[in-house]
Amino acid sequence: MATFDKVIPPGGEGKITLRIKTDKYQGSIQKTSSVYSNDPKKKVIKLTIKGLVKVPIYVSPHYIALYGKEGQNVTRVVEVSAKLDKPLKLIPVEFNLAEKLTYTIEEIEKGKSFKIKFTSTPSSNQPFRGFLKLKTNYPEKPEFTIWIRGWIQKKIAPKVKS
Amino acid sequence: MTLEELRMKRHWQLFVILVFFFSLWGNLSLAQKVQGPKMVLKDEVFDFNEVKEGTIVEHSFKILNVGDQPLEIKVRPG
Repeated sequence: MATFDKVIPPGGEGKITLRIKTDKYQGSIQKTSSVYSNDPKKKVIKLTIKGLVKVPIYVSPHYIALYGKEGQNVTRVVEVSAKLDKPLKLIPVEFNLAEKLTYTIEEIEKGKSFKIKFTSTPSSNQPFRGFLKLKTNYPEKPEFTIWIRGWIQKKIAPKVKS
Repeated sequence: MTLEELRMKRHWQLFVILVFFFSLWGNLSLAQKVQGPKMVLKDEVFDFNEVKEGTIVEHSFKILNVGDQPLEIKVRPG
């Protein structure tokens, strides 16, 4: 989001304020805004805000897409890792795609890193959209959601000319 | 032509060359004066280093108009 002084008089000073809400980011981020002006020598310049967003729990990715063809087992993996110096526990609390997908939670390193594996089922032949919500034992991040969408296309039988 | 006349001629030539260069330099200086709006930014990148998730990061970039006409700006994300 940006707020700025639209007109700056000769010899005057103005400001451009850029604002980022970091609640949907993790790790290093960089946001750029373009400034267009009537200065003939600087018609466009870029302003950048960058830095590192520290999270108690790293989730990658937050959004997954499962697209494939009927008969294929489409799988996506979400990695979850604890960034605080205490063991992490994950408890699934809500999953609204049970008919379309299955999932497993594998603890790679005890209390530290996990892999959540989503796999399509034969009944996932319609577009779908949903989520898996997990609770944690971290008061700093008591819950998080993994958003899912996808479509497993039915095989189309070739037409046979008689 | 006498030696004195030759000297005078050289002095005149030198004088004409100097007048030419000074007038050229003056014209260039005038051309360098800012005409129209001129945008000057103190910085174009802001590094907020580390913040906790959920923090709202805000930074104001200062802009100076050192020209002789109003500076108009628009800001678009991306």
